[in-house]
Amino acid sequence: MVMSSTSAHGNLTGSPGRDWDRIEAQPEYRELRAMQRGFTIPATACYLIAYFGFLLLAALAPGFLGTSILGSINLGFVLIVGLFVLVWALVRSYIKVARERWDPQAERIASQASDDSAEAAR
Amino acid sequence: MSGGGNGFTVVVFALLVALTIFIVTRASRRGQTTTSFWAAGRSISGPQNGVAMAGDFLGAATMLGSVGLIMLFGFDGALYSLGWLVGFVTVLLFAGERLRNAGRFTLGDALTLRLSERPTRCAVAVTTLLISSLLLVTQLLAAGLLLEGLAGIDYSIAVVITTAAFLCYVVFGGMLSVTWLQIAKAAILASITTVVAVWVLAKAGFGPSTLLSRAADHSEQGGAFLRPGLFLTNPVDMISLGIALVFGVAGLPHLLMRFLTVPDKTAARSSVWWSVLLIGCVYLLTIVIGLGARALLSPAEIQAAGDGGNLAAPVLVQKLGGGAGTWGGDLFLAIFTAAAFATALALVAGLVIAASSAVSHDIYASVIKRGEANDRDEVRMARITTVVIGVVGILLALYVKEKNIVFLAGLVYALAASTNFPVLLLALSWRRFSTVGAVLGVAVGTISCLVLIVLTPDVWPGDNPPIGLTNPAIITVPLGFFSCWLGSVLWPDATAERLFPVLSIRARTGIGAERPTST
Repeated sequence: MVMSSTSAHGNLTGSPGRDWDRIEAQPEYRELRAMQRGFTIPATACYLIAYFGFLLLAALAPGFLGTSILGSINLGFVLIVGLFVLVWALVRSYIKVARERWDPQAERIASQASDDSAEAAR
Repeated sequence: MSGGGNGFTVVVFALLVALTIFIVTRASRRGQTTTSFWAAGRSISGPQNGVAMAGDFLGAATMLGSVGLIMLFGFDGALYSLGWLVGFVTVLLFAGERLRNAGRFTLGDALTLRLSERPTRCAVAVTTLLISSLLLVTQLLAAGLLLEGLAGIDYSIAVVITTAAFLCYVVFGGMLSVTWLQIAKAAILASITTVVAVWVLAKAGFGPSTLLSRAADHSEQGGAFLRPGLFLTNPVDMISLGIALVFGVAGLPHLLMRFLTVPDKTAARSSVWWSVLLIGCVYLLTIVIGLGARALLSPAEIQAAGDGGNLAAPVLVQKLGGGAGTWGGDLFLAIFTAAAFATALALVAGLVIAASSAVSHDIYASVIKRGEANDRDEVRMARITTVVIGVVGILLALYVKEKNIVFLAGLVYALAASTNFPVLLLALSWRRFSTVGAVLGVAVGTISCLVLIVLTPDVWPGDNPPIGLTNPAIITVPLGFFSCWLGSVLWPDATAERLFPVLSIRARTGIGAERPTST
């Protein structure tokens, strides 16, 4: 029984087993993949655009980042703190989405897979 | 700056050594299997692992380098450190929980779920060794120079003491003692940073705006000190460095290994949260300290902080304590020096365990013994390689002492971003990724980094370097991805394609993931 194996080596690499292919064909697994992509792709775009956009702004428009916001605190320093907050927010929302949506789905896939393989072993 | 041989230094150092020995003896009481040696029995909780992971980043470089850069270059100094924090998002999205689900001890373990065993392990073992030992040398240099500069101990002796100490930690305690060492050090570092930053803010009446304007008034550049353009002037250089940092973090073997010390995927996620929280707070405080150094120190004291401003933080701490030669100044300096030294030491222990895993787990146990080695042999081999790596580290550090090492850190991140990162990402997400693709990607990524770094202004011996780039990542990262693709298209690998679901399903769902050992 592949599912209960705790050691990957020999067991899983040696024989791919029909279990893995069966899981991959499950609609639940495809749903999980879509859920994960649905978060990962926009999140990646978001942090990369924010970070590299900020770098480009610093390189090409230093005067703009020097705009005063409050006394000597300028836009540049506000955006640095803003990027910290963005990173924290992305990590928190990842954890929330993963716990609330991905984990239950993964549970369903795992229990269905072990039912299937028990049946196959019979 | 003359901190040479003050009485407090000896006392504080003795306390530090006593503390670390206590940690190590506690940690080494448990029996040693491979799981306990490499992965601390998967018994580290999410928050603990997060703090330890933060410890990997809050090295001597943060305490000394970042404060110095901010003091010298204001805004650009603050901008420079941002990339590391952003890099953690890459780790979370593409490595963290997936690696925990699919991996065992090393990056090689996860990759070989679908790629061919021997070539893949050899390839990642080479990058792991290269990345870890380059970082190791920079940390040994930092620790040695620190001891020489602040405690008045000879550089060579300092390097030997440092190495001997961390070898004991790793040899006797494995990953568990390394982890506790990292946690203790991150806690000490965070407390000291907080105290100094609050003190600096208090001197400015707790007004960030006042602090900024005082720092600008004290700099020769005036208002320009608070705007971009003093340090990172070339946009291509900036983007290239940004690429190295943002993607390099997700390719650092000693960091990736940390994900395999936690019990499950939930703990892997929370480790990322705790480390970005801690790193973020410490970096924000570092900005305050760097600006404070500029606002409070006299021109002569800034001169004393060295060319790169590396000693800005210790000089500031001494001044806050009452100045050089006073009771308070000496005590503060001694505490700070010991903390910075402990920082370098703990990071070195983490690097050595990663380097030794490449040799004894990937090469010895899996490639040479073809997985037939028993636990005791592998752990014994790990201890031997730890000592060998330590000795090689000492020799390298003594050899490069006189050389300019600034380029090393940038090179390491570029190297990780153009080898381990593409291979890990493609193995997890691209069905047609083949073994040849992985090996070619690693080879081209490594060679192009090494070649390009020689052609950059920092290293090139002549006056006209062939490339004006200070960091090669903008060329080598796309090249690494391209080689992975080319190798996979030209030499497809039916087995790797058939086994793709094994890796991707494990990584996405956690089915079949390694469980914590019950100790």
